[in-house]
Amino acid sequence: MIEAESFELFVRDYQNMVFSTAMRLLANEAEAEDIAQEVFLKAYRRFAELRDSPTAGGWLKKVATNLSLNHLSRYRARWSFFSEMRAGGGEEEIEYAAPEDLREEVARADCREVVEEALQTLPAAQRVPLVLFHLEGLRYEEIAEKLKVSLGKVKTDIFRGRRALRRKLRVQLAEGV
Amino acid sequence: MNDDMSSAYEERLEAEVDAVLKGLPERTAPRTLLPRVMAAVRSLALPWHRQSWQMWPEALRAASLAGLLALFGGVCLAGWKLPQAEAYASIAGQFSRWLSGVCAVWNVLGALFGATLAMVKHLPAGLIAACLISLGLGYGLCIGLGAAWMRFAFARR
Repeated sequence: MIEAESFELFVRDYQNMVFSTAMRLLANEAEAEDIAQEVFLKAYRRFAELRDSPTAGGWLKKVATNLSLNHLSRYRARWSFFSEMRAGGGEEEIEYAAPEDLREEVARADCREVVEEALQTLPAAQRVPLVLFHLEGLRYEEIAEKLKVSLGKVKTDIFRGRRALRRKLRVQLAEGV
Repeated sequence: MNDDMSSAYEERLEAEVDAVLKGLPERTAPRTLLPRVMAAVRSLALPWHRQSWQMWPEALRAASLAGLLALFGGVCLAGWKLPQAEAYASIAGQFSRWLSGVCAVWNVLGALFGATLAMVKHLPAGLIAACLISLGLGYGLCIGLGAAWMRFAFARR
C-alpha cells in the first residue's frame, strides 16, 4: 500500500482519540484541531516506527497531551488578562450529603454531551488537572510536575474541579437538558 | 467526625466523577481534520525549495541566512561607497531630472510640515500636555473597555 494511503488509514483510526485528548484539555475546538494536526505531523515523521507499533495509541495520546499543555502555557497565558474569567470563583458550601449518585443521574439521562459541556466550562486551572487525573490516569505528583505547580495546589484544584463539575451537572440535569 | 465526613465525601465525589468522566465516549474529530493533515503531509513531501523556509534543511537555512546577510552588507557598502564614485554624479543628475516632479511635491510637503511644526511650537505647553494626557487616557479606556467586553463576552459560565 502506498505510504500516504496507509497514513490516511492511521489518521482515521486515531483522529477521534487525539482530538478528544486535545479538546478536553483545551476546551476549544479550533485549537484542539490545530494540536491534533501537529500531533499527526509528528507521527508522520516517525510513521515507519509507529505504523505497526502496538504502542502507537499511547504515543499519540502522550504527544497530544504534551502539546496541549505547552499550548496552554505558552499562548493562553498571554491572553488571560482579556479572556480568563473566574467562573464560580470563591468558596462554596461543601455539600456533604448528596441526595443521589451522580452516576445514576447521568446514566439515566444519557447526557454525555452535557458532561462534555460542563467539563469545558470549568476554568482551565481546574479542568486541566481534572482531565489529567481522571482521563489520562496521571498521579497527583505527575500532574504537579507537568503543570509546574505544588502538589497541594493540584489536589485543591482537582477537588474544586470535581465539586464544580458535579454542581454544573446537577444544575443542567435538573433543567432537563 | 467532621474529618471522617469530609474524607468520605471526597472519596465518594472522586468515585462519582471518575465514573462519569471515564464513561465518556471519544469525541468525533471535525471532518476538516483529515483533509488538513493529509494536505500538510503532501506539502511535507514537496522538494525543499517548494516548502516554507522553516522546513528547509538546516544547512540550507544557514546558507540562505548568510547569503541574505551578505546581500544586506553589500547594499549598505554600496550606499556608502557609491556617492564617492565618478560615474555616480552623472547617473544621479539623470535621476534628478526624472524625479523633479516628485521633488516639487516633496518640497510642498516639507513646507507644510514646517508650518505645522511652527504652529505647534506656538501652542501653550499646557494644551499640548493636556492633549497627550487625553490621548493616553483614551487609549487606556479602549484597552479597559476591550478587556471588559472580552471578559463579559467570553466568560465561562
